Amino acid sequence: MLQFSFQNCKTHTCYMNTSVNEHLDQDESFLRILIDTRKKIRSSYFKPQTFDEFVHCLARVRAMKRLVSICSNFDEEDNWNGVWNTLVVDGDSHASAMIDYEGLLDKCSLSRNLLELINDYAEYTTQVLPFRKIPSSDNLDSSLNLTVASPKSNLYYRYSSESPKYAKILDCPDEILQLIFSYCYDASYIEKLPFAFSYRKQRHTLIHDLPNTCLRFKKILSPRNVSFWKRLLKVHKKNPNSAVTCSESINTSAVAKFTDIPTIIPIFLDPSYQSYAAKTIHSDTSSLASSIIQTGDGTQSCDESTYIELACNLVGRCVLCNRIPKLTKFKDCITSFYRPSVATNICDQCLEAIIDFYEPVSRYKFDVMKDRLGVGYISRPGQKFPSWLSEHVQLARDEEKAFKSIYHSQGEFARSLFRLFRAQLAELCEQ
Amino acid sequence: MSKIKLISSDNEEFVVDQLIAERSMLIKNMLEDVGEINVPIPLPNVSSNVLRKVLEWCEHHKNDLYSGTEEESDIRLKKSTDIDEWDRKFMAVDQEMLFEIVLASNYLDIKPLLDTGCKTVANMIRGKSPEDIRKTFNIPNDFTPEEEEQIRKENEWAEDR
Repeated sequence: MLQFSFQNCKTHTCYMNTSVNEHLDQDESFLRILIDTRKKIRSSYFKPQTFDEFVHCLARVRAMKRLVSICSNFDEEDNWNGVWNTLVVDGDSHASAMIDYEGLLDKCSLSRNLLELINDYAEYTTQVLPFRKIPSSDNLDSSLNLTVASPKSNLYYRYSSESPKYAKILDCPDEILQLIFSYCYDASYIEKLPFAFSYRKQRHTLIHDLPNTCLRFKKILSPRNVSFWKRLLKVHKKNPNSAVTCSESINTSAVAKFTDIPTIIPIFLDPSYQSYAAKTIHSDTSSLASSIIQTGDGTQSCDESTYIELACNLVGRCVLCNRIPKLTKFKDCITSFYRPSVATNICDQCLEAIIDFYEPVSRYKFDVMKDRLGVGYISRPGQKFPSWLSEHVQLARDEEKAFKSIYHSQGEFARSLFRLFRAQLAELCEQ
Repeated sequence: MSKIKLISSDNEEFVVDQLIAERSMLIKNMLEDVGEINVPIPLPNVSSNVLRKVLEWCEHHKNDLYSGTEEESDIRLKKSTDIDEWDRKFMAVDQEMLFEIVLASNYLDIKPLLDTGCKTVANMIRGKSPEDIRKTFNIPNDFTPEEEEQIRKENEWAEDR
């Protein structure tokens, strides 16, 4: 049974305060702006009164979790809405709805997007905001329980655990897995929008996603698996379309119309940066080997250079100094070089330079950051939490996108969910 | 046309043209080694329903040329998303069967079929997040909490704060 809780605002504020205190200055007025902003954003969405507000809630949840990648699947046609309609059309009896709903979960292949939407919303309404950190078993009921439908709850796994036949990929020997993975190399992959402060680029499955799936995949796709990467690099080099790194051909016309392109270049006319750059940035970027030596920190070996070369050819060089990524002690390679927060590749040194310039500005000119630059997260290398200075700008963009998706393609489903929500709310009030 | 007798793991007997059977390098080499074609060839790693599918593929592709050179293999790799229409329909099976076909083609050494199967799987993987890949293939998440934390740190933008 759904149980919505609106009691955790206090906990939230504490969480925010802790975050702020830990990671930003103690400038009180600035802290107040940040805290108030976040508080306002969240508190205004706890009690949706109308359907539009409710859709905004859903969109906000989506945005809060940065579900842009999942939203790409969000427009899928499905015939589930009709089923859901018949399910709840008899009235607001959530109890019967829940029984039928559970039955439906068993009987039909529930669209994963819808399932995730329910999970997101249940999670949101129970204020389980530090994603994945809440023990999912605390409130578990043996029956279907949306309240605790975090991504690791019973609802989530019911979907997969009842399909045991999908267990075969791990039966394949490593040789076959390597072959499959090599076909995940995508010669047609194009780095999209490699421009700071625009939307992030498309992820490359082979580089970004597969190694994070399970230990076995990670091992197979280790940079030290030289023969695998060598083969792909050879194929890549033969392909005239993909041999050029895309960072050399930034297409600003493709940037979404409501995305202001920041004036990033003037930043680097700042004298302090120029002197910094003169000291640190090596001008010769033509040679892979020399770049590796320049950027190396002692943790990478020659064995991994094949991987690095392929990876940087696939996902680009630093857009500012045009250097290739390096291995760090935190991470095998490329993903620490790519900064999803600003949707582009920036090497550590350039990132330091940006932050050195931006941070003083961002602390005291919040409106400028928010309205003109729209900066998302920027993390220093090794920094535990990203700065979330203009998080709400990013949120607003994501929310707008999610709102449109939900309203246009999942409207009926959202209405049904809203009715369920209202029924639950009414019951809570009665109690 | 000479006929070959194949015995599946569940002891079902298949009589096929030699030309079709020899799409499998394993069978071809066996026949060459034995020197006669009247001996039934046991295939203990392939069940009858999978062998039937594999033979259906071999029948359709019996006249295809496949050199198996590295260059050809590279070309196939570059066109990783290209799957012939017939093959696409042929591979439109449930995951269990798909991986059975992949494993059987590996065992029988039928490289073009193995490639097609692997491409099909790769197409199912491409564009998915790690979590989606796990869900699609029912792969358990066996990272330790520390490793998960590391991955989460690398993808902090996806987290709510």
